[in-house]
Amino acid sequence: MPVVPDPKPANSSERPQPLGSTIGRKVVMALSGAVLVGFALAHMAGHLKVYAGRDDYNAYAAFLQGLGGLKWLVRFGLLAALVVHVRSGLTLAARNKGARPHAYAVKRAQRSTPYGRTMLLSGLVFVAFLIYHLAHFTLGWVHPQYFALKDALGRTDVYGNFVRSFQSPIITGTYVIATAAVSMHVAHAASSVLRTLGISSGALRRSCERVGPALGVLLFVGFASVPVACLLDLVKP
Amino acid sequence: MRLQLHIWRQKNSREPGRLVPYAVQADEHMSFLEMLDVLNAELIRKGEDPIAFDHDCREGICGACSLVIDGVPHGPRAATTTCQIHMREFPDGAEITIEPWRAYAFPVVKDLMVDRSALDRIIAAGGYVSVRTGAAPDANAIPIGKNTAEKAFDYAACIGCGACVAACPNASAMLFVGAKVSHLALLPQGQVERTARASRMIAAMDAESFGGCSNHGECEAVCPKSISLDAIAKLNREFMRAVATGES
Repeated sequence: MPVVPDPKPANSSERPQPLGSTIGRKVVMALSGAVLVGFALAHMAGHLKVYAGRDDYNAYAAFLQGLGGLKWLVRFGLLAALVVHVRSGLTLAARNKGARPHAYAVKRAQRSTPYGRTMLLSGLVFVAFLIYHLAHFTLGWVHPQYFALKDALGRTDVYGNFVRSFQSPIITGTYVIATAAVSMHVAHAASSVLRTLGISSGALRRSCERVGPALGVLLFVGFASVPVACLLDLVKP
Repeated sequence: MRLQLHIWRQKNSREPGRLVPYAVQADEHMSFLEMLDVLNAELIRKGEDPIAFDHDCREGICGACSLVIDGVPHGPRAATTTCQIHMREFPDGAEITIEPWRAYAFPVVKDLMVDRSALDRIIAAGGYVSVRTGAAPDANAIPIGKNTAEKAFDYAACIGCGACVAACPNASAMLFVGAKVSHLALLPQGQVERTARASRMIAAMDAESFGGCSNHGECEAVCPKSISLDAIAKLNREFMRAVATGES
């Protein structure tokens, strides 16, 4: 068994930087995660426009592409939030693993959820998916056959690319699995954020604890329904 | 009643341990620790090394007893210490696994006994109110509202047993530190050192290599004193307060 190192004296000169403490990292992870969830909700609302038809969807896509500098500001902001979030997550996960070097022979979970205990896995699955997703719809590297389509008004036919892509069970399956991973992640994370930021306590606790699962279900239904609708031919290319 | 036990045996903190099977004849009215006493008496009679485990008051108030019984710190009954568990909780012929608290910060001393002085060092870093000793002040000299007093008392109920650390998938001590910081942050006597206390205790907690809180809630579920997760939310608020006031 490892021997506990001598504790550092807790005087001010040797005290670690606040953001480097476990709670500091949690706060950083919570804030960056909140930014990412905010984007996920906006992204979901945007892509539900597929149900409104080709014209609305392509106009929305053209509007986003026309934002110019703002678009790049948001992109870099999201990338920064993601990098900070993943970095804090990995640092904390390594610390947490080291805090119990010897596992229990028998351990019965009392309160924790399967989705709460698999945050690292669901997060990593999501990062891998994100790379694929950007290569698919932003860069056109994978499935490029629909990427250059134009609609009747000469706009990029994002709608056509979207609907035709999701007629493939493999592509739709991949997206549904990734959506499940991110929804499970958020189901634990959103309520966790509220406690890390000190909001979830007293009379607010029960409501705060429902926020995560509710957002998880909302994201899953909102994100997964469209590819599935395309696969089932409910949305026509 | 006849029981089949699997008990963690470990000579000291350096040598690896293992689960050893024991059969014991117990009475359903015995407490869990009395059942171990019976087993130990038998081991001593046979000239074997008795099983080392922590215990002191045996009435649920000292925080010394510390067994993980079938994967749950302090065993099957909520809001109850190991010493207050009775054998009637288990069916006749039960197979029970008994392990020590497991955390890097709690090295095994022997068998089921771990060194929990990491928690004492966190307290020494700031879990107190500095007052001039002398004559005791009048009991009601400082008025404290009923709700505040009750809240502070709920946090003060922590007996420092470390079950929160043992239950946490990250071996985090946040519930313990949260209870101590919150208790004193709520009372007028604790205000002078409030921010410095929070920063020092958090730094001491990190220095002991406890994990971080992932908000699973396992700690609250096993706490024999039912300390609420609100303690952790409050600790997070106290941390941000310390950062905001530049006293972290």
